[in-house]
Amino acid sequence: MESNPDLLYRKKRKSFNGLDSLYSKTIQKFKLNVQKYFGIDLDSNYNYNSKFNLPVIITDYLPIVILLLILNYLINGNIIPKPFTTSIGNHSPPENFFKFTQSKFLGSYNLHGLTSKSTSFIPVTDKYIFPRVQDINTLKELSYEDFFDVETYGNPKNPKSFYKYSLDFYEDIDEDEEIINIDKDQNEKAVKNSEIKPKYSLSQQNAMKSFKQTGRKIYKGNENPEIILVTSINFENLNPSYIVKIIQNRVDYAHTNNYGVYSRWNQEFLPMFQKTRNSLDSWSRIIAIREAMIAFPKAKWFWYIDETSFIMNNQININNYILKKESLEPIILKDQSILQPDGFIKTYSDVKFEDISIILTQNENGISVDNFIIKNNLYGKAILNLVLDPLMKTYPKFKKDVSTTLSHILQWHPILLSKTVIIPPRTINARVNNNADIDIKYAYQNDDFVISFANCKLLANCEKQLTPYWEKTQLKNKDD
Amino acid sequence: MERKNVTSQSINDLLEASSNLEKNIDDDDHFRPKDKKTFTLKHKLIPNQLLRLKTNHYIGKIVLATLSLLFFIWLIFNGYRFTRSSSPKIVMVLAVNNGGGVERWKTPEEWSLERTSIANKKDYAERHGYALTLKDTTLKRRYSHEWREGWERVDILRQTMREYPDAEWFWWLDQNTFIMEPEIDLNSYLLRNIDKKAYRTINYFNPQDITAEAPYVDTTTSPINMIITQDCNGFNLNSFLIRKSEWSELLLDAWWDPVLYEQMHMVWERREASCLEVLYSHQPWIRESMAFVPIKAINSLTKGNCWDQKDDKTLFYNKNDRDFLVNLDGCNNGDRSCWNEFEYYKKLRNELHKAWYKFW
Repeated sequence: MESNPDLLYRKKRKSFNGLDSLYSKTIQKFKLNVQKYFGIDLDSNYNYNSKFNLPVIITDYLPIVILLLILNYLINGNIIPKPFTTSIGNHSPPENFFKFTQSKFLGSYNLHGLTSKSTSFIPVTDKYIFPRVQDINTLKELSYEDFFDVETYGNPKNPKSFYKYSLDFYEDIDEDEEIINIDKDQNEKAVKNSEIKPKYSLSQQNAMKSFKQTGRKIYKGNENPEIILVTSINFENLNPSYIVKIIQNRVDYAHTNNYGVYSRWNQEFLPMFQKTRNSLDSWSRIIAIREAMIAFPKAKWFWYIDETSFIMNNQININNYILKKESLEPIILKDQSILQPDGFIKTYSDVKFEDISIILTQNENGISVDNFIIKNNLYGKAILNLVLDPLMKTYPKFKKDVSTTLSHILQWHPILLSKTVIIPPRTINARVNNNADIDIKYAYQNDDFVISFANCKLLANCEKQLTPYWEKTQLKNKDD
Repeated sequence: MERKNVTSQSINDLLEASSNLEKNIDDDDHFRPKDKKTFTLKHKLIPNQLLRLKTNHYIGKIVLATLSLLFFIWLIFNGYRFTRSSSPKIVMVLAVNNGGGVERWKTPEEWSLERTSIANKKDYAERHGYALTLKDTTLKRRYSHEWREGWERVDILRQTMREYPDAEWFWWLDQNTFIMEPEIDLNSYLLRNIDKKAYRTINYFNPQDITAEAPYVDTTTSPINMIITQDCNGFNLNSFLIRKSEWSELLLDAWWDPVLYEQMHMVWERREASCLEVLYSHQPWIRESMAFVPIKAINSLTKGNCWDQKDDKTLFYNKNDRDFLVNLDGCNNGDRSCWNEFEYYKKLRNELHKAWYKFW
């Protein structure tokens, strides 16, 4: 009966005595085992007076411990085993790298334009930003040294001097402090007033000031025009009356269609291109668009319409005319060679409207930069800045005409090419055909949207060429 | 109560017997001694060994409990082996086969350390569920002009981005790199909240004197698309990360331009890294999306590099800092030996990761 496991279990379940006995039995068994294997009697009262008990244990076990340590040394190279020498905390890899970071350099910073600081923007609510036209004659009186600081390089015998932006381009320099300083010494002030004539007349001072301030103007109005007409103008080789007509033409058009206007003097960008001897009129247009993107950050499209082009029809809304899916997709010239007439690299045939960021027209030689449209996105900004790269500016082939740079970039960078479309020239870039010697697909015909007097600066007759067309539009406006 | 012999019973009888068993569970007679040849239903359903455990050998239970506890502990530390994501967000691009034995035979040592390097990255990728792709960088004819082979990595990255359309980050690694802390998860260590961790200006360390402030740059609105480090010579591209995006496509496209190359290839000593420095300094759209982290974060140098700055502790690997990755770039220059250095760091890695409870 006792040996039957079932019954034993049953009994254990019935009473706690069974459990107790099991417990005591286990203890006894443990004590027996200890006595058997380790030679220590746990039941007997330990004799603390005995002088020989402890040394006996040491002499018995020390050699074994030493042997183990030697073995550990032979195997691992350490006398004391690793668990006793290392702490656990040492072993966690880092969760971050903050201890290598200098926190004062973290954080973002804001954008600014070529000649502005993020704190020195001049907010304007007028969506037509253009330089003061009434200053043209005053500006012509002044020399470049009056606008810019001059830096001199090279040996003293044959120095090379370059213009650079003076500090008052970036922010208004407060002259009040100087005046106060002078006030302290009343006599000195009196002497100055009587003897020294100011270097510049008041109108010259104003002209210089507004020349330097245009680059800091940014639009802060509520209308947020979607399309901006950008024009960069050279005030030296064009008549003031011509410039007035051109700017008035842009403003009229923008007013009819609720667009914005952004215009700059080419001369403002002289320090950018003087050292590398780039053609100022050709290259300024690129940087003018880039500046316009700072002035109108919320605009969608920037239409560069150059100083020799004239909008003939205010009623054509370029948004419906070109910048809509339905109107743009049918007129795209697919598989069009970048270099005319038979360049090797061609535009893609399957560009989607959503991807289009660069809209160009061509002339007989290839890409024309008289009239083109750039979207305000990564690709638009990237292509403008790639053109403006200092290494592009220094490349001899590109210096004369910026369209060569543009077509180089399109031919070598397929990602940008895939965002580019070429449309027929007569859409926004029809050329005047005075001598009837231009191919009809490039030439202006009645009721075209834009007329371009592309060579008028070479012939120095821009105003003469413009006059008949200007009169035409004036008559039309009167009729309306 | 009559006991039934179930050896030759039908299933119906079995069921009946089991219901009887339930009724009589507390009956004393149920536990009466049995004939050795008689099998009860209970003996049929429960294995003998288990019965014995239940009755007297609770030591068995302790053993079981210990084993299962050990199993769970193992599971905690090794559970990552079972968490595989089908489309990894991080792809490690490892450039192997440097030179590819075109100019001379590859030595056995070179073969061996290539294997070491691959195994190191493979272990790391498996541990965190990242993808690892090996890219062959054999000398090729189309990269043979002057320093042009550096741009091969641009083509490789473009090709890898096409290969993994769902991945987000691509981590470029040269062959001569060694991950020292495989526990570190790149996502929590670096990529999560990267805006707060990385420098958006070059002011913190500027060995190439790049203009710190440029027009048209707006880092407040543009995301970080590329994370690189700088050593004493400037941009270091032995270990960097790039995010698949419109921006990175455009950068990889713009990185190579014949007009830039034609004018500068004699000047650009560090090839594509020098080119990237130039692009960074001139192109605001590139500057906007690039960010820097301290070199010790993902790309610690070894003492052979940057000899003039050898006392600068912010550049070099230090085992007390437990740096993430060691970059053995230039380990074959002069009297250095890649083999020795790899072996040294391999040993050091193992030493640092020896479990505290292990004797050997």
